[in-house]
Amino acid sequence: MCFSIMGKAFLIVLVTLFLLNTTQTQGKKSIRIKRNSTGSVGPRTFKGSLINISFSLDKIAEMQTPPPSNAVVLNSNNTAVYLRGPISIWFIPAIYIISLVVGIPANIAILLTVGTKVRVISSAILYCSLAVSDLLLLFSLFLKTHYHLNGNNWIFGETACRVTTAFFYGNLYCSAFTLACISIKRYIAVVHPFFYKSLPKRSFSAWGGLIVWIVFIVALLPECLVKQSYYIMHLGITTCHDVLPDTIDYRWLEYYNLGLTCVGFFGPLVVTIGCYASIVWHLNRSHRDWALYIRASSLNFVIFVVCFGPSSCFHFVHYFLLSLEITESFYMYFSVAVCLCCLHSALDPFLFMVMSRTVGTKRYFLTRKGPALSIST
Amino acid sequence: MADFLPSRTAIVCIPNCLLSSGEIDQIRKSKEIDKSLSREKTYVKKLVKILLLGAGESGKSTFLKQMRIIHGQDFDQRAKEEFRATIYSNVIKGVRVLVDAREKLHIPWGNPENQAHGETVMAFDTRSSLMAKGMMETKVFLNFLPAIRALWQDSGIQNAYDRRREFQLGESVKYFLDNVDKLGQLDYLPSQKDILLARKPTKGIHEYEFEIKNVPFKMVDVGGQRSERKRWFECFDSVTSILFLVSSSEYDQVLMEDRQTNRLTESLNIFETIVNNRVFANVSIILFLNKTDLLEDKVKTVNIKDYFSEFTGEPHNLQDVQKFLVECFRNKRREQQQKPLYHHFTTAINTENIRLVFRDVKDTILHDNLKQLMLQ
Repeated sequence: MCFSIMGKAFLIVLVTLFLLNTTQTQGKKSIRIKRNSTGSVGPRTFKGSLINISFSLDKIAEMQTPPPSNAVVLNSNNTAVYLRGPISIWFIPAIYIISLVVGIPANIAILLTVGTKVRVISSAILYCSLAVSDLLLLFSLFLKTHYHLNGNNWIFGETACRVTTAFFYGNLYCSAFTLACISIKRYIAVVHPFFYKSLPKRSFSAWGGLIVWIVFIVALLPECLVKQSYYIMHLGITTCHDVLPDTIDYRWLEYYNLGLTCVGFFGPLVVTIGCYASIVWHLNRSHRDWALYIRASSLNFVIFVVCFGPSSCFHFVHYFLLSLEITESFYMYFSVAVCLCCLHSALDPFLFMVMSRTVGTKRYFLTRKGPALSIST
Repeated sequence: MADFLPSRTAIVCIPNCLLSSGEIDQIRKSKEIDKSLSREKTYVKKLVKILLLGAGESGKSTFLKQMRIIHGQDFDQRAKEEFRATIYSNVIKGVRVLVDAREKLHIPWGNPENQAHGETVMAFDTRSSLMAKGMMETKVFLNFLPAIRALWQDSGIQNAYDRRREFQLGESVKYFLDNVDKLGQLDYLPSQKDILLARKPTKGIHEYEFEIKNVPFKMVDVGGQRSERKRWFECFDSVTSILFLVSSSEYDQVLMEDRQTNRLTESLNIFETIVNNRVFANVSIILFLNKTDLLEDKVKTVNIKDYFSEFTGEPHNLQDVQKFLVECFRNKRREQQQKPLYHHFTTAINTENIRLVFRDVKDTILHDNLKQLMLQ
């Protein structure tokens, strides 16, 4: 029950923040810098214009041969407001820290308790995969937390920036996909129980896990292939992934990410919704009283939608509007919403326990009393 | 180039030459065996095994015959001929029971001339090799047919029948006696209804397999008499559900075995043993309160309070009696039981029975699936 309240509380906070920032944006509308006249389509995040660091007096030489460099000029003041504002410097890292403190011990505990059961219980493969995915995402938050607390100044170099960004986005999709696989498995178990009985469950779980990690690789590839860190001249900071140049090199990334958002976010979301509705409908028609299970299942489902829904929508809208060169302000909303996904990674172990107990698996947990107690604590 | 061609040809031949025809056959057979094993494994995982349990004459075999008629293979000529012999045996035994009861209950003959017929059927030797198997030859039956017909029409015998609860009489005897002329036809073969109503105590363990909605079911039928119960435990392996049958209408009758124990009490005691057995901790129980049509008739005339003093409610109200019966069985379960108990009032020949079983078994497997998913 506290999880549900927590989810709603964050939703309220998010709405408040959106209203606040919309006001700020409107208030400073007149100060906005005009867009670069080149009109090139930028692929992602905030845009910047690529320029030569050395100020050459010979404009002709500069125009003829603009050499590539890691410095950009921001296209809009909105970006600067975000990069220096309290949301990215305090609020986001606060969420990250909470996720880290709660999520890492919990996911390690799940790996230790469930990992030993992989041979016995086929679903354990998926749960271990989910725990690993959650841990990788949470680990990527260490550097990101420092980055934000440091005033959005990245000091760890290009390689670390790529790895961190790749793991962050890769595991977001990975988590969503794993949860969808688990939903599908539950759907088959409830709606087609006889078919599930004869299903080669371990193979099914293994294939599900394999597909999930293929998605992971597909998702992280673009982050590894393109340069992520750029120096922002008039702010004096180096951003990681938040600002990318408005050049032809990044155009393909835009469409790639639109596709990824549909497959990696909306796909699992739709599957999970469909499976949940079907499961609840069938359980309600069952002889046995499944109220407790349905309640836990509903909690699980609501938290999933609350955590992944907003970021999916903002992510999609952001890239869609970016491709039309309308606005880039949705990246800020996405950055805040994606914090909910990090929280979900921290909450997964507890949701798992809630689900387990509704089906009368006390015996299992009682045999490993220590880890269970530490999880509860 | 001409020099290379022969060498290549030779190389191409080598792989085939390395394998003799015998080895090729062995490989093919080995693959077929592997496929067969794989199919068998899948079948076993799919298989739903249901154990039919209950006291004697609770309707287990009748239920199974109905399943077989609806979902399995129909009975062939040979099986029908065997059932015919069983029916003849049921009839002659039934008539003998009635004649004997008439005498012991001191009921006068309606027609004194039927005394001779009564003596005729009582003189029949029930220890012949065929009768020991519960079967009677057609020509022997036809010899007794006139006597049987006359006896069934005697008012004394009818009076004895009306007091049948005071002795042991098969329920289907009346049906067959009412149709004794049909049985006497030279070309008579039992209809499906006749087969369903034929009574033959089950000895040993019988297994029948059939499919419902692409799901393979195996029903295991074991005898319900006390002498047969020791074999129940041989059938426990990988059972999905237990189908426990009870004669709901027999709360005023006693056992065939000892003629003292109340039949319903016997069922309750058996049920208690089954439902609290550790072996069945993970097996769901489907309780069929059978012969509900007879129960409906009986509550109008027989007060259940005379036999079960703990009954509270209107003894002639069917719902009250049904509720009491279900509570009796539920109360036999200890509280820590996790598996569900499904119950239905029905008759063994009801064509809806298998739908009820299918739904309950599906529910059971759903529950098992969820437990497994959540690391039970």
